[in-house]
Amino acid sequence: MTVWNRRSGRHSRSPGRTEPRFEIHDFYELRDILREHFKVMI
Amino acid sequence: MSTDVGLDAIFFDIDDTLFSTSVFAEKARRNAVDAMLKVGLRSDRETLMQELKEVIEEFTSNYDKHFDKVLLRLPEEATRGLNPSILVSAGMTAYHDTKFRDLKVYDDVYEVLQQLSTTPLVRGVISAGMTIKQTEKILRLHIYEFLTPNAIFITDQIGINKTNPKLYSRVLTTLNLDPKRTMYVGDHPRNDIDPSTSSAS
Repeated sequence: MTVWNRRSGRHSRSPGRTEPRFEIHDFYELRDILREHFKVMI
Repeated sequence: MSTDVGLDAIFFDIDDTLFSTSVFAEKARRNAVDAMLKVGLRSDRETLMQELKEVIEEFTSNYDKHFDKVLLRLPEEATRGLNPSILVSAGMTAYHDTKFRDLKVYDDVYEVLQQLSTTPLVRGVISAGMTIKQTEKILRLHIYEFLTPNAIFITDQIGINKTNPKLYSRVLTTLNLDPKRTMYVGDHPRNDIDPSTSSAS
């Protein structure tokens, strides 16, 4: 599964053919996803 | 509410995911042209930045003679009486000094990678570029200690580019991972998201 990290903003106007499973703007958002969706204990 | 099956591994792109490649490169290049001006190059910063930008676009960022090419594109009077090797060395030294000083991951990235390293998850990178340059970044960014040593995959080393789903299949096969239980974090929709999604389908 894929996570699109949109922090740099460089590719916001160049969408791909597939939808990422998640989108984040920083790694705190990634940590929330890992905790909530995958029960990763961090 | 959790709807996912679980996670065994997480992989990261390096450039513009773990640190700001764009901001770093701009700063390093600006310091480089300033250093060339300081040792006597007769030009101005914006002209040099524009020529350097064009050289990088034309010869790729992995070419090792960017500054030599910039000098060749300037009017003859810009370097008259100067040793071109001194000018190139000034640029290279300033570029590398910036790298030693300023190449850092985002604070939140460091914190979360550190936390992830306490879990049993496989933690890796999938990155495009020259092997030695990408591994140098891993070490200079001080993240190697948080990674699983056999989970570092660099396109140049593998021989498959990032846009090819085979790269991600190779990663999964090599580490015996289930794509449904493997996550990849990248910044580029077409180079990161599309091919890794295709490899899992």
